[in-house]
Amino acid sequence: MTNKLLVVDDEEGIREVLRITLTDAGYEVLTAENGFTGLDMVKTHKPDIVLTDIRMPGMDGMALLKSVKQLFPEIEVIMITGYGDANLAIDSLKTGAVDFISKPVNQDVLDIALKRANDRILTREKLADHTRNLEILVAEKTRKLAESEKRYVQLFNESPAYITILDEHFRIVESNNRFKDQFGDDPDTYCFQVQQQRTIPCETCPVKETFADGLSHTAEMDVTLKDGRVRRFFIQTSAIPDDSGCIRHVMEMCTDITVIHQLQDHLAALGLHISSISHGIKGMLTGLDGGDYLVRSGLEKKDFERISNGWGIIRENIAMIRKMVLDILYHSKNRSLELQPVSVFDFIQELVTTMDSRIRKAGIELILDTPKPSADFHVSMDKTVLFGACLAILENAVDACVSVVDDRKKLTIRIQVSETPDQVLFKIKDNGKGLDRQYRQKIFSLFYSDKGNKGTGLGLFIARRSVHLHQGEIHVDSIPGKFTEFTIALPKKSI
Amino acid sequence: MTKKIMIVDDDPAITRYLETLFKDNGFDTCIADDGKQAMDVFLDQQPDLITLDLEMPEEWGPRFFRKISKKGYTTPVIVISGLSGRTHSIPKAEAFFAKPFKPEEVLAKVKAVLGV
Repeated sequence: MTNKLLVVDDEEGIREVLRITLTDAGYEVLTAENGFTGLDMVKTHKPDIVLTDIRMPGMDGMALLKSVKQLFPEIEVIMITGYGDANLAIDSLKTGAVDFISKPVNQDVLDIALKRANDRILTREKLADHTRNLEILVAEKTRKLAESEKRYVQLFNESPAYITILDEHFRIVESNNRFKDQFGDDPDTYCFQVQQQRTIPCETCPVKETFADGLSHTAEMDVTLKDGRVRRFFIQTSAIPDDSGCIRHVMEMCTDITVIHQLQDHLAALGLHISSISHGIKGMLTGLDGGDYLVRSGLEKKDFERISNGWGIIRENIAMIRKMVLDILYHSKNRSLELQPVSVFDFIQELVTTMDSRIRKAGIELILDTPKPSADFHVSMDKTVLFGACLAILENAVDACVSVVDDRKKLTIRIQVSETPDQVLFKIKDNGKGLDRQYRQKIFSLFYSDKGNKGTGLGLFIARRSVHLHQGEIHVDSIPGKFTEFTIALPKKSI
Repeated sequence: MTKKIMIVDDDPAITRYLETLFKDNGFDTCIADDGKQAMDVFLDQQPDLITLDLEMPEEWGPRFFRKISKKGYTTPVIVISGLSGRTHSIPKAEAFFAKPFKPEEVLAKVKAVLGV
């Protein structure tokens, strides 16, 4: 690009010489005969370089220099000085002139001054360019950084695991959204406090181990969510060292494995019960062997009573096998409910009729606290399903009473039916041996039985399933040695 | 003199079976439904041999065995149980039969132990 150059001198001869020389050198040359005209032309044409005489009538070179530098600091000004202007020349440099040349103008000196001016212009342009690029670069990097930060925060927050960053006192320094959703977002809380409702740290803690050795550790723990639900968590930890390599924080990542845990429990229960079923079958096979022996030897001896006994045993065992198979089939099938309104009075009557002889034989008093025919009402239910459930609980109650060792204790079973605005409550309470806390938790689980080889572990599991099918609830309350009370709550609205 | 066998099992079908089997083969029998009742029957009847189930609702077989051992009795015991692989629970037992058992094997063992 051709540089624009303004020559300001009151001597026309000099102006003309410079114009010709500089035009030859490739400049676009403008000329002005005094400072005022020069300044006007500067404003109009914005030259790159101004070459001005220092002494001129009216506005002199110094004044022009000052004005130009004030208005356009990027315009380079070269002063042309006469003999004895040395001080002025120095002043002009201080004011911002790039160089000065003295009259008469020597071509080489002019070239050096112009080169210096051009270098300065070039440097400034480069600098400006560089600054511009740097600004763009910074803007771009800032944008990327912000994006990246946003992305990492998003990854942290939306991670499908529960993530916390803990300090060495187990204080929660940071946590992700999932964690906050389920455990709250109170500042200055401790993990053992939020997840375990403890006031002191847990005895075994993978975070503690990671602080100690810097390695990743794992653990399984039951934790309580802020809504009170207890979930099983798989916990993994990793150390977050600072720049000096010192572990200041540990990350704890938890996965909810409640479902897997339940499956494991079920599998374990299933395994247990397969052995319990095979144990039961062994007993029944032995019984059948016995029946077979009695029948065969009875036939040989023509002993009718022996045959009859043997046949009785065979029949009993066939019935046991049938019941076991039906129980297992029932459990393995998804049965749909056949709902119909059932009179509570009739339901209880039928239940009592079925169990009465067993209850009496065991010397237990049955107390009924159920609606009289006059106060009878109907409940929508699948009678077969719910009858089975109540029967299982009653059988359980009888077994609990029979197990009582104290002969003097008066054994009772109380059946109570009552209504609330939304529910019908069936309560079956016995004063038998009771259940301790550990058994109360297990009692509804599949195949759990505390009756040795007498129980299949299916009865109460099926009872709970039956009640749940009716969208009802079942729970058990008990004090060992005092009582056991089962409550079935059914919704009144038809399901 | 006729040897007496005490049958301890909570399943009436099995006690009746063993009772008939032993009686048919010339033995006297007495019966207990579980480990708890077994002690009374044992002291009263002083049997020559015991067939013992392991798992019973009130008191398990091994506990009953320990009790009579403590009292100084050395009456031979044959375990007949549905729990397989539990021979160690009564190490001093003469034999261990898993249910369902073969009657001729049980009889042969009983006769061998009683020297009949």
